[in-house]
Amino acid sequence: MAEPRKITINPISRVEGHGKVVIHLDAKGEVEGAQFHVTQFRGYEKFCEGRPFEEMPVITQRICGICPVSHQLASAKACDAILGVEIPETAKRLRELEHMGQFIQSHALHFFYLASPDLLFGWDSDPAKRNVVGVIGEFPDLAKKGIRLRKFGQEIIKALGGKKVHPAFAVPGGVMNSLAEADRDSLLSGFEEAYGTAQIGLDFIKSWVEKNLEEVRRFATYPSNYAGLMDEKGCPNMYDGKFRVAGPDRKVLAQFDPARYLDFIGEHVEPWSYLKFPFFKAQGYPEGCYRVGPLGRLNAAEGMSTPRADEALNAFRDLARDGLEGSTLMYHYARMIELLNCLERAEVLMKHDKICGKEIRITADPSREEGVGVIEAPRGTLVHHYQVDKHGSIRKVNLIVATGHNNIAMNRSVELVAKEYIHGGEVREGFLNRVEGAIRCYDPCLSCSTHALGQMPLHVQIFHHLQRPLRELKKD
Amino acid sequence: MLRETPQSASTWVVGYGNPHRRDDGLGRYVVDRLCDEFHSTGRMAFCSLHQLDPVLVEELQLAELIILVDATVEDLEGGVRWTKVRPGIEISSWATHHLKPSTLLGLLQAFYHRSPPTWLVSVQGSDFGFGEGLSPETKEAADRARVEIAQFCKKQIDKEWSSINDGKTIKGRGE
Repeated sequence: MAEPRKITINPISRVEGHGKVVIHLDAKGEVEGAQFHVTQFRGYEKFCEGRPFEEMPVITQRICGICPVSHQLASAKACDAILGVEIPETAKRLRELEHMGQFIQSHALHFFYLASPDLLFGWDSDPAKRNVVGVIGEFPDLAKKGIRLRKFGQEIIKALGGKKVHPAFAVPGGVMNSLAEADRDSLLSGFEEAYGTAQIGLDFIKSWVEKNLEEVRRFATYPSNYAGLMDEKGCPNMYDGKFRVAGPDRKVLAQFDPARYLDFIGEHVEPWSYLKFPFFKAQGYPEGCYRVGPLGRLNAAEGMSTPRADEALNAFRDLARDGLEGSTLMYHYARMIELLNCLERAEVLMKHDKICGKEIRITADPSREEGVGVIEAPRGTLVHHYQVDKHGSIRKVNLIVATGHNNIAMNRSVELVAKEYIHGGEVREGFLNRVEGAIRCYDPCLSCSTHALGQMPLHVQIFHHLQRPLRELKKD
Repeated sequence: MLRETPQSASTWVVGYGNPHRRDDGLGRYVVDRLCDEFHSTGRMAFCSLHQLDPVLVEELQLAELIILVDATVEDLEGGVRWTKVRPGIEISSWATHHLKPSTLLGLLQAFYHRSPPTWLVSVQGSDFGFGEGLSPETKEAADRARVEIAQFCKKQIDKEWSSINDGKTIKGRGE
């Protein structure tokens, strides 16, 4: 075997947070296993202890600058449970509307800024070009549309919470502000363009999948369970619903009140990662691997709750039925269907005759010592679980974020890519791009999952079977 | 946060920074006071932000003049420095939710083929620790910057009015 050598590859990848990949080889130089490490720690679960529970929606939304609304809403739902109240219908609709704004801006951000360079230029194109600046240079109209769509989502959030990022809106018992009629009317005028851009994204990814079927079929494709919140018709519901776990064949394995998540979901800890490994208890660890987020929701669903998205899901299913349900690259396709779904849902909510109603909050004293709030964040299911003392001070916090749910799956995806690209101890060209690409499909927010912040310098270490470092690939 | 309606605004003043890191919030401090001074003109827009975001390009697409106000750790003579911003997009300066001034202007050029005169007004800060409110010396420098920007903007408004009175159309405004 060749002498150990070290290769450093720079620059940066396009996900949030800091991660490291370690590949272990056997004596023949074949891949034995891969570990996707998350190397950051922020400790929200710990330092929230002792805080009044009412502060949690404000504190926890600071976990992330991309999906603060999701954290705020999951937190507010957990606080509602501690108060023991059912919030007013208008408040519920407004929270969901804010959440749709969150999905629109986050999915647009991921597809047009982060994922599109790989799709437009190809995995093996020059990294100097394969980035958002390259997209702006060669496809300025597409980039502009992506920015405008993201802005549209942010405007929804701002109309409700006063700010595009870290809005002050959801509170225990409801929301702080009603929707002004002028803001509603102004936002309604933006839907036509937003649908147009979402359709461009959807058409593009469908066509890309059709043209790259072999790659899609081969790339980190494996059977897994799928999970997400579903409404009573079995359609993904981003704000509320029952938590469903479906098998690789999409048959429902379990469906339950998400407040009972501990009965069904276990959390495994590995010493090499700050990110826990949630698993479906009935199947154990790691067999109980499930995927959340766009692909998880769509593969667990019967259909979509809105007509255009439902039609798009049917086309997706036609394409996916030939063994592509488990393809990690199909995340991008699923994300665009959800974008359309969230636009449709936002329009329905805005046209509701009581959306500008003023009955938006119930005040009450805490009546329970425990509350669970579960919501679908853009990247997948988000759990906020609090225990409080009789004064309402936080005693214990458990947060499970989407990237955590997907942790086993991301590791598996990385391992599959490694097995394809490493043989006899030799690493084929393009390996690192594809490892990054596999991780990026999940749109992981390592900042959320470890409650850390920053971009993701990817660090890959390949170890000989005697634990001797063989090769190192790095993007700072 | 947008402080004035942009529809009729040709001059944009954008202050950005984190007001919870004391002097880092001076851009917003300056903009808030300028807004109080100029709000009735209707030709200016004021914007306070945490950081420069790509979507700001949408707001600035018709701007004739842009003034960005930010804190700096550099030692500056008099505590204030005006720098002309040139458009240029660098991948190293790109993040999903914050941009360098040059990249912001580069996006404006790429998307809307516009590159209005843009100034970065840097104001020296000294305390960037956790907390709210400016340190006394930074507050003085920020007030000096505010006066300089106000004078600059008044000249700009006078220039626009004389153009209108001379019967000239202000480029890009459709007036």
